[in-house]
Amino acid sequence: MGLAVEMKQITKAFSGVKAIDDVSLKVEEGEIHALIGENGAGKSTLMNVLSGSFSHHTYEGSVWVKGKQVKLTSPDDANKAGIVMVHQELALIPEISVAENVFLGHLPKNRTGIDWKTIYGKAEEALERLSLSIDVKSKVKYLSVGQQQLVEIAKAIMMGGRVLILDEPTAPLTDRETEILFRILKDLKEDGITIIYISHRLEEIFKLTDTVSVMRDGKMIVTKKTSELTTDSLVSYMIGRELKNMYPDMETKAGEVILEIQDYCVRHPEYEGKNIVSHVNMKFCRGEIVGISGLLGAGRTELMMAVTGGYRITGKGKILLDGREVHFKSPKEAIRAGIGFVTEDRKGNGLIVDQSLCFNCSLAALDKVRARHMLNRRMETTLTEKFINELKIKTVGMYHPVKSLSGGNQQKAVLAKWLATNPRILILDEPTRGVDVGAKYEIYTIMKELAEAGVAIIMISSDLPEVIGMSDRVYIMSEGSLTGELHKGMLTEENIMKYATNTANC
Amino acid sequence: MEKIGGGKTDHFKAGKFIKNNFVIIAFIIIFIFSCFATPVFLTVGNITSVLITNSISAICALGMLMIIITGGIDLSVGSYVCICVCLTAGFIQNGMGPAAIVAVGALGVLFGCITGVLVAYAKVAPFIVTLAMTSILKGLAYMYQVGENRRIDGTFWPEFIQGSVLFIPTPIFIMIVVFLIVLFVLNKTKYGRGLYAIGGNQETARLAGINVKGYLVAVYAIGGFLFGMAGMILAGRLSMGTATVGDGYELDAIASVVIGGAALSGGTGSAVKTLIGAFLMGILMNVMNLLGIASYPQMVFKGIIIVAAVLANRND
Repeated sequence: MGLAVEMKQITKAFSGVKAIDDVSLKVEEGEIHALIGENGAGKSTLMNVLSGSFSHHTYEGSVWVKGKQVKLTSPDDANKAGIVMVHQELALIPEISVAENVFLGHLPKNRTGIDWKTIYGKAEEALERLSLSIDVKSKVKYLSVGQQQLVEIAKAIMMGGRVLILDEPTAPLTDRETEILFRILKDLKEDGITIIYISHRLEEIFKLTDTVSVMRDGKMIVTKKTSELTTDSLVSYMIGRELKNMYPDMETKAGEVILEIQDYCVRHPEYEGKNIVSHVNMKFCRGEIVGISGLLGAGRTELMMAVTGGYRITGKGKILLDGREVHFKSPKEAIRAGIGFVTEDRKGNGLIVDQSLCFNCSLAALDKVRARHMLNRRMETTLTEKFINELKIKTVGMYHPVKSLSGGNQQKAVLAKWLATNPRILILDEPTRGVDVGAKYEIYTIMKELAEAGVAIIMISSDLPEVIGMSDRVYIMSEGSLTGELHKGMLTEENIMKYATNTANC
Repeated sequence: MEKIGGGKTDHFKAGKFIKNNFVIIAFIIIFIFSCFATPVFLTVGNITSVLITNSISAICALGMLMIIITGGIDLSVGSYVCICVCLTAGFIQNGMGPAAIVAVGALGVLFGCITGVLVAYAKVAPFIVTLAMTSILKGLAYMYQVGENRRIDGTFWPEFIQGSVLFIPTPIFIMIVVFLIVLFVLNKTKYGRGLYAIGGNQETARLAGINVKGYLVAVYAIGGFLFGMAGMILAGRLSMGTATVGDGYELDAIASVVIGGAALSGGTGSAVKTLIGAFLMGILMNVMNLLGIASYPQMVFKGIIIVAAVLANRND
């Protein structure tokens, strides 16, 4: 088979700074080709070039599809050439049906207008091809993120995509959904469709892909058959040095109990008479890292949000902070009591992406950057500088909008915002989702250091190796209930999954 | 990371500088043009009159700015001005004296609070709430203002407004004070920072411990107070109360804010640039008057300026 796509000597600069520098990439037809690298390595830029997001005037180099040079000026052009990108941020419209989304932009018409029969029929066919059982007439907003991802892929194929670019597709997926996705991708490969797969998760690379290209600092480092690589060699290509361990080896010691949740319930926002969190009891100690694991929708985020006053429904039950009963009516009160919450969705509710790093860093701790009741620019700058150094945030300047930062650095910015409040309890929801290996290690180290300094760390995570590698103790939830508690020695993926799927006693 | 040729970077920086300071550059160009276009323009008398005439719309624009920063909008500015003109004159006629001013200010705040509560707690879109308020306040103004205009010539209020404070005509003085306060609030207080955060991402702001609902109610109340103050100044300048004033004030206010570089989607905006935006329009109207351009072409020209400003301020 020939080359599906070839990119020759691509150089692309943003405001004078080269994001990718003389990068070439060859992708064979019908293969699953992984593109990996740390955040900011230039993967997204390269793929934006290929998918036509940047017009061919704005970069140097050439793009070839099936041996012919193409000059792409828009994503639409790329689609016509058979290249479709499924973005990390899902681009479906929540308020309209699955079928309409699949056909968005080119709804088939008949004499009287839109040909609904064809739309529903063909959409159903497309979903069936991916063995998906989704009602094509239901609105997209009722689908899980995983299902939406698959609808995006169906849409890409419907558009005649022969080369699919998937940007971290598994980031929001549960393990089961990931498995489904992989099966579908392998089927597509059998059909001769080429897939370029961007991911941070190394185990996925080995499970799924045929070839791997590694980028670092805007340059292409290596392209090799996956079978010729090991995790260690891959990681060293990515970070340019050898990484001994995925998790920092630091001892943490649990102190006295700081937060206790007793018989806590939260009503379900949609279903009458159902609880999204029901009768949960948990204890958290100073200096301890406690993982909360479970499948997506187990009620973990809702539980911690409700406890800290951030959920739209007030929970019922007892919360003891330092042994005294408390009740937080708003996040403001929880912050005042020393609780920080690094939320899961950094763009949705973690950052103000159009504002600067400085603005975001001080946002939850404005009282700490005031002198004589006035916001003090110098104090803000000092605070931000401190975190840029401590968390090794890579940025062109603290007054640049955080949307220009890479995913890992954005996550560090959220972390900085909460560290600025000087929390005694820090809750982290999926702290390393969409974050590259190097930054992951740094975030883990910070978590360990905080624990060492006596902060109680609560980590909600679906990433099992992370839960096992980081936690001193793990609570596992399933369908709103606490189904298990495991201590360090007992932490294995099997044990956690047993409780997460609530089959421990079967 | 390495840089590509210095020339390109400089060019880029210059472009960015022009974009960021569009309103200031445009203001200077129009000002210089006006000086050459007509000798009357750059006289103390004319400049003072431009400042006095536009101080009212500048105050409205500053109130509007704070609301637009949160991602909201207030369409009822004209009606606030209208009802406050009527109430000021009415209360003074009824012999309330200086208490009339306090009372009208308080009513402005009250109307603003109603808007704010509907926006923040009932979660009605600001566009709709303030559209309704436009009708309600205008209706109340007509109900209050039955029959003839209420003349308040010779009372303390027109004398104060038409006089001066520290050698500065009173409306200009009030505008400067309002400007300095808004500037301070937006840049130096937790509240101002919170407004930008709410406009940037309301959910992030809430989870970062900002009292979003309270801040929103307050911003509409502050807006109401400033719009009311604009009405009071107008009553003083007219020496009477009439329900026929105020139309179009909201559009001028919104235009000033937008020309000043703020996005209607919220999260951005500057007090300095808004003020310059207000006077840019003021000078333009003034010079067109001096050149004898009729009022309909003026309207067309005003519209073109707004579109040009939005295009110049656009990202990308």
